[in-house]
Amino acid sequence: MKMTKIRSIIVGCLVFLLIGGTSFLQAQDIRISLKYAQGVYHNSWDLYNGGAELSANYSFLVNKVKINTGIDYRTIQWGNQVTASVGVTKSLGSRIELGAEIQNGLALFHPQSLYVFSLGLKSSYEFLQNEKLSMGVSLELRYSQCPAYKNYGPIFHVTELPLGIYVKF
Amino acid sequence: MKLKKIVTVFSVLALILISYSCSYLPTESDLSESIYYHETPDYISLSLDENVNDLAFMFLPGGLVDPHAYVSLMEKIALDSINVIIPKLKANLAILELSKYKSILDAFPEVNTWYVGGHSLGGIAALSAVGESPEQFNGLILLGTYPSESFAISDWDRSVLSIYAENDSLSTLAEIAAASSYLPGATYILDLNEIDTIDVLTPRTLYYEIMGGNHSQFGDYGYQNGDGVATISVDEQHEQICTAITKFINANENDED
Repeated sequence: MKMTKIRSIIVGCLVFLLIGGTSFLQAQDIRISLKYAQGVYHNSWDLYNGGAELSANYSFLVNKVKINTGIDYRTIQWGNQVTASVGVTKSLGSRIELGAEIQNGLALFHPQSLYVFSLGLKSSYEFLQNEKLSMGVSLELRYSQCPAYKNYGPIFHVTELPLGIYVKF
Repeated sequence: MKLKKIVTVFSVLALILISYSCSYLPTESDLSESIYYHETPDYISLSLDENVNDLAFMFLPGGLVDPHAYVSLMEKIALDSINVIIPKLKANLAILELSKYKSILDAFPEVNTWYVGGHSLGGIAALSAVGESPEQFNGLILLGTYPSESFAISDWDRSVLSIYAENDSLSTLAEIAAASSYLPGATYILDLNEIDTIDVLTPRTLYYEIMGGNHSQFGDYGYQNGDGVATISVDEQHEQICTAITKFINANENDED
C-alpha cells in the first residue's frame, strides 16, 4: 500500500514536471518519439525484439549544447516501465544531432514497482524541417537495468539499439 | 499554447498507460535442482533433460502477470516429465501477441507433440492458437478462463481440460458454464482419478472445479484485485492443477498408443 502511494507520487511528479516545466520555460522544442528497441545483449549476445517505446522530450539550448528532459514509457523484458530522462545533445550541422542520456524510473509492478535505470548514446537525423514541424529518425545504444528483478528472473539487464521516428514541434 | 496542448494530451495518455500497465510480481521462490531452467527474451523452458524434445506444454501467462509467477506451478509439471515452455509476452499481455505461439513452435523443432494452455487472458490466446492451427495441438488446457463466441472451438477434434476455482471472482462459475457451448461437449469430473478412465480421444471438455481456490492462485503472485478469497493454500491449489494437467496429458498420450 505504501509503495503504491510512493509510485503514484513519483508518477504524479513526472507528469507535473513535464506539464509544469513547459509552462514556465521558454521551450525550444518538444519531440514526440515512437521507438522499437532491437535487443542485442542480455546475459549473452542475442538479437531479439526488445519492445516498443513512446517518449516525449523537451529541450532547450545552453551554450550551444541542448539539454533534454523527458518522460518515456515502454515495454521491456521485465514488463512495462516509465522513466524520466535527462541528457545533452550537440548539433552537427542543421540535421544531425549526437548526444548522451540517462533515465531513471520505475518498472511497473503490483504490489510494488521496482527501480530501473538506463544509460545511452543517441544520434538523430532530421529528414523534414520546416517552421512548424520537423520529422526525423533516431538510433541509440542503450544499457538498461532493473536491479531488483534479478530476484525473479535472470534477465534483469539488457543492451539495445532503439530505432525511432519522431516529430518535433 | 499549442505545445502545452500536445504535452497535456501526451501526459494524460501516459498517465492512463501507466495506471493500467502494472504487472503482478511473482512471489520469490527457489527452483528445484532437478529441473533444467532456461530463459531467453522470448520464453522460459522447464524440463528434466537439458534438451526439450518429444512432448511439450506451452503455457501462456495471464494478462499483466509476470511469466515467472507460473514457474513454481510449471516446475511441478516438468518434474512429471512434461517439458513446459512459458512464452514471454510484450507488456505481459497475451492478447497483444496472439501469434506468439508460432515462434515458440519454430523454436522447438524437436518437439512433435504440443499441448497448449493458459491462465485467464493467456487462455484466450491459447484458444486463438487452437482456432488458427488446430492440427498443431493435441489438447488444450484452460485455467480460470473461458472462450467468447469469437474464440469458439466447439467443433475441434481434440479434448479440452478446463480447470476453474470456486472462489474465482474474475472468471466466475456462471461465466464458465455459460461459455460451455463454445467448447467441445462437457464432462464434469469430481475426482481427478476419473481422468484415467475417460476416453479423451473422443472430443470433450473435462471440467474440474477446485474447491476453495481462487483466480490468483492459478499462478503465484499474491492477491489479484477483484478476486475472491481462497480458502486453500497456493500449494494445495497447485497440487490439484498439476495432477489434473499431467493426468490429462498422459491420458491423451496413453490413449493414442
